[in-house]
Amino acid sequence: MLRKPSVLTWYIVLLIIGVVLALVLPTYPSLLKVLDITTLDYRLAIFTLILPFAIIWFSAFYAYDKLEQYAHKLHQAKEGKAFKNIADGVRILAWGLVIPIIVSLILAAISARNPGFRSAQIIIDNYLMLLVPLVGFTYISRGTRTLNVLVKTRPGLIVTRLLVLAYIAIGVLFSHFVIHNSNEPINPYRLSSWLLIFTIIVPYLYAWFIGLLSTYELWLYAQKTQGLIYKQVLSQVAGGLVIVILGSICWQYLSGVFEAESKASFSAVFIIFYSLLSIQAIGFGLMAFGAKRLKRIEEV
Amino acid sequence: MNEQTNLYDKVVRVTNVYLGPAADRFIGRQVRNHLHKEPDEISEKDLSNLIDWIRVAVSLLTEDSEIVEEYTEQLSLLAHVNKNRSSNPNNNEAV
Repeated sequence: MLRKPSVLTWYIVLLIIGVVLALVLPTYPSLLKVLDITTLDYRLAIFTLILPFAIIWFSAFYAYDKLEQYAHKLHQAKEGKAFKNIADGVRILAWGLVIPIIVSLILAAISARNPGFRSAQIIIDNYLMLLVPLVGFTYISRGTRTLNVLVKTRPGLIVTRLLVLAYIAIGVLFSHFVIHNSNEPINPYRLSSWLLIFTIIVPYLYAWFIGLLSTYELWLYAQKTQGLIYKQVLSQVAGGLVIVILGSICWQYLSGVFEAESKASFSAVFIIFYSLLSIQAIGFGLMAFGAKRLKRIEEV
Repeated sequence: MNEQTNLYDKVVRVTNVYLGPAADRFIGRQVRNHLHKEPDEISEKDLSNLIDWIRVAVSLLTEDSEIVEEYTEQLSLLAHVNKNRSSNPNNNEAV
């Protein structure tokens, strides 16, 4: 009987696929024109991104592997199901860093040969990007909610109000930028306003609310739960997850606001997105370190 | 509740301050793996041995030696209180 491939095996396979596709597949000429770079510059940029992406993907896969191992140790405990949900959510976020890029590279290659496919490529890319936080944050939120029920705590009134205020500001600005961009001569999202509002903006706002709420719920659990040593270690996992969720929201926010055809310079986009990915990598690393220590508590 | 079960519960209660929700499982493992008994079978005679094993295990979980010392001291107090209670059966004050 075949053994289930390990997380490390999946990581290596996906990395090789990603690297080969990035270096071999052609890109569409309009992107090079917009970014004002040559094909060689593009390949060099991709090449310099391989190592950072390999590190970021590794930290994400390592984190979900450690969280899953910890959740497995807890399978009969009260908080076991909650950590299983959080691990599932983190797994989706980790795979969500890789799969959309691989799909996007393949679709971009098709677009390069068949320019008529460009709109379909953009629409598929956008929906795929949306699916990751929508499903991932929902799983994480189910887990953090269960943890809050276990320690009999609820989000406080003041923090909830501040959270809603921040969320409304983020949501309104995001809606404004996306609608504004969609009215450009070439609509970067290739969707009508109604489709854009109901199938992109609303689901993103929902996912971000769920994501922000789960970060708060996890922080609450880490504050209310008992155990000096347990709390120290749990705070690392919670801190890591908070960084990953916030970094992920910022990434999606900026991806939505600065579409490929935006006027932002290549180097500015490069630096912003690379910084956000690095922040997420630090979050995944912190989470992995904490999950490893939590697992040790269940082993010694 | 018999005396042995009571002792296990007291050890778990002290451990809860340091390991929170993992306390019950942690003590259960120490008793089963190192004392080769079921958790509800531990008695005062096992306490000193159990504390030694707990000290080793907790030292692997944290580098904060003050926490390790404080925790094992709390467990040792439990042993003293249990000893005093055994010598004075009229004293039923809970720990």
